[in-house]
Amino acid sequence: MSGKDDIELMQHVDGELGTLELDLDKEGAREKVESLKQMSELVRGHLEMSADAIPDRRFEAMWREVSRSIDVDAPVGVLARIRSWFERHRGHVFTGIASAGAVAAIAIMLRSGDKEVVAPNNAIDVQPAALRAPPVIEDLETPGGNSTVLNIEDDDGHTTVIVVTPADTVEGI
Amino acid sequence: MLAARKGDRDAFRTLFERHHRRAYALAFGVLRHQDDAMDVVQDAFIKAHKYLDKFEGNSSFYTWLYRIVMNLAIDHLRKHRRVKPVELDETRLEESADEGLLPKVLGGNPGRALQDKEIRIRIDAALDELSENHRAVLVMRELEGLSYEEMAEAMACSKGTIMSRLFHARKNMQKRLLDLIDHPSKELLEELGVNDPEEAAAPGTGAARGRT
Repeated sequence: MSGKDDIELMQHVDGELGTLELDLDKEGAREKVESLKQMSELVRGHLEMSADAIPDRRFEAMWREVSRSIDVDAPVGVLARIRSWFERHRGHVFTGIASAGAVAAIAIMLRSGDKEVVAPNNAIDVQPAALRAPPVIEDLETPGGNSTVLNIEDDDGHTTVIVVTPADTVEGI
Repeated sequence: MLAARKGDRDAFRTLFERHHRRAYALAFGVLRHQDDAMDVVQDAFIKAHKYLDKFEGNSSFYTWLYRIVMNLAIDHLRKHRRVKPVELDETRLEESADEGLLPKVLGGNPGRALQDKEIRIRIDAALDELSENHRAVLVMRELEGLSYEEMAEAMACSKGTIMSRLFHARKNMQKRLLDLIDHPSKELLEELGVNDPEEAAAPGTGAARGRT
């Protein structure tokens, strides 16, 4: 078997050949496949046993270091927590702001803008009732006093001034 | 996992307890140094905790963790590389593969064979002698069962390069373990359940089964 065949054998063992069929009846092919599988098992087993040989106390010490480091990294105080939250969610915040901006921009573009409203020629001139018939006050009853009503017409239009004078009171009554 | 993401320290400790040895095995396989491997695993858990909220949950926590371990181990190798490894031209895989795999098997049960100290010393030595890249690929494949594609992604190289590294790593491991297969110790034969050394030497049986 050539080296090229062996590479295919290796791919076969590693499940990298997909559905491609491989002729394992060639000289030594099955032994090579078996050899590769055994070596995998040896290497894996050896490394796992090496890890198992490490005493628990070393991993305990490692956890203490990991834990200590987590504490150091942990933000202290409300502001720090808010900053930390912002740091962690910065992407989401920026995405939210960008989305809101885009929606606002679309809304502005779709608005009608400053178009002039043109009234049809036959439109009826409607005025508010208050403007059409302003009340004219000539006299006003004021309990506990007198009132004077002045109606003044000048360049600014019609103005009504009401002057209220309280009645005289006597102390002690 | 969800509790750990919400900041529950006990939940994160449970994750640590569940995965620390496996993570160590991976780091040790690549780095071949106990203290370095411990440092890498420790850093990996710290990093995992820091970025826990970025873990999307599409894969298992361990799959995510081993990527962190592997990246840190590879970074460690790059930073602390003392000797530039000599590797074959990986772009010419087929030419360099002229010398194929060896059709030799230990026979018996490899799990039992691992009880033999001599075998384990020999595997250690063989792993030590591999170049860092060859060893990293071998460990990722044998320990974690990563696909060529996944390994290529982890090592930032092509799938062909991974295939080449793996092929040479395995071939070199075979060569280095050859002596053990050809001249098994009495203890190994006992572990393998072979009583008669003549029987072990005969083709198709015992430690030399499959020899051509």
